[in-house]
Amino acid sequence: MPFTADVARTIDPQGEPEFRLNRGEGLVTQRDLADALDLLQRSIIKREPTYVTYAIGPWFRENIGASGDADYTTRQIVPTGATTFGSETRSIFASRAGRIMGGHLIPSETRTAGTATLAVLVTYADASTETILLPDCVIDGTNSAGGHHLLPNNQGIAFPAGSFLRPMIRTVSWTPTTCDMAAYLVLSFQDV
Amino acid sequence: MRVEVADWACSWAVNDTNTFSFLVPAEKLNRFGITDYLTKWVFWDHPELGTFGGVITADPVSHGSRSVEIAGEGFTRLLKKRRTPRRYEQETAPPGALAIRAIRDVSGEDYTFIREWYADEDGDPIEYEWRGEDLHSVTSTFASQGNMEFDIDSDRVYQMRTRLGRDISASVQLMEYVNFALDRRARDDTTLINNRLGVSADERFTKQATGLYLDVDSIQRWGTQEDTVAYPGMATGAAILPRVRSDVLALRTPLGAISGTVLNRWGDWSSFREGDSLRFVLPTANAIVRARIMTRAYRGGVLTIAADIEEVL
Repeated sequence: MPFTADVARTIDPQGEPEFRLNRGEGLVTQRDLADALDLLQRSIIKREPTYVTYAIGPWFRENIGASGDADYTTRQIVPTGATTFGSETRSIFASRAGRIMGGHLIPSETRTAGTATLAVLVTYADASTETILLPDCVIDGTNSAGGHHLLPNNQGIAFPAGSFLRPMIRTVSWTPTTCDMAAYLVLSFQDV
Repeated sequence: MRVEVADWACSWAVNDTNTFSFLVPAEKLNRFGITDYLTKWVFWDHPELGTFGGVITADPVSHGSRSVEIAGEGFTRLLKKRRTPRRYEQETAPPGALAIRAIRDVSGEDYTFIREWYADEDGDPIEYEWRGEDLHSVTSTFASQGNMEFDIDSDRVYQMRTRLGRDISASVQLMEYVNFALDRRARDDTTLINNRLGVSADERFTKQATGLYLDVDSIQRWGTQEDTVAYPGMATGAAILPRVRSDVLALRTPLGAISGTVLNRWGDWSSFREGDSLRFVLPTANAIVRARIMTRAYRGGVLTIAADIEEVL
């Protein structure tokens, strides 16, 4: 006699077609919910990467505007002896790609006329250069005490790995020409 | 090892889990010399339905009837409980390529018993971050994001394709009262959409690109049926709009699904597999349709199918 047993099946393959129709009519299984949540987590909600942002500097330049309207390079303080210091034109090296987020301009004297705008001289790995102006980091009639500006997170100006960076100060009819200025760069790198 | 069993039941499904179940008298199992059946494989051959292969996942004993039910899933079970790598970077590639990458990485750690793997590597790329998740979960995610289908057959060959199966509606027909007994035709407006706003899923709300498509004929017949869907991996309106259009064209008519029993009158069981599109003549529903077989289920000499209607002919 063939073996038969009337037992409730743990897995019922014969119920699969009807189950398929029920799903088409709106039945949502736990598996469907898990897949939807996984899709939501992975791709629909795009995770913002973590950025590390910091200000580098200062660089200095004396007598801004003394040579007329120009891009004035800046210098860093370097020791020339145990207790003496000089200055040199130096750039910083970025081993990783990042973004220029803004900067600060700090004058030693109050502006009397014209503008001084922060720019960044970027020297790329192939030795080509580019001067990138940060027009919102400016000392002018509105911001006469100092310049400061930060760009939003996803609008920073990108630079590639292997670049050298140095602030420049662009003057237009700037006075007083005896003003000395300090400049900081704000850079951002994506956290690993 | 060949075993005579009772009441074999199994199902094949597209983009879903194949299942099987059969009964064995408890005292008969002892003679096999194996007491632990979990994770062992089962193969079953039918001259017309083809071969079923799967992994035993349950062996509950019914004391009252002194029987053991051996049950399990198809070979997509080999994808489960295998961990993908953890990497702190996002990767962008077509879903098929990512799926192949996942299987290859996991196979490098320990053999998955998947003999071969193939995937269509076309389609829009998706972005993915490897977080050490389950391989089956990852594969399902790729398939759903990329509108693709995957399966592992009884030969343990993995495939992820834009479509599994073929359109054989020009050569294979199932006719009610001849070789097909219609059980149910399900049709409602759950999936009916004729006005869709597609938005970019990868951007914040204020920066989302959009694409809108509406089907006038469908609106005139069924009324306005609107929704909004976020599409991952599409950042511009030019990318979203064609996808919205193709989705609305597929959803603008409530087509429904059918289920029923296929009679093996002239060896009809051998003429199609899950994923194939057939022609159905349904006098009860007053319709001739092209429908795609999504599920085949067999038990006790009866083959039951569920099919999604693709077109009313």
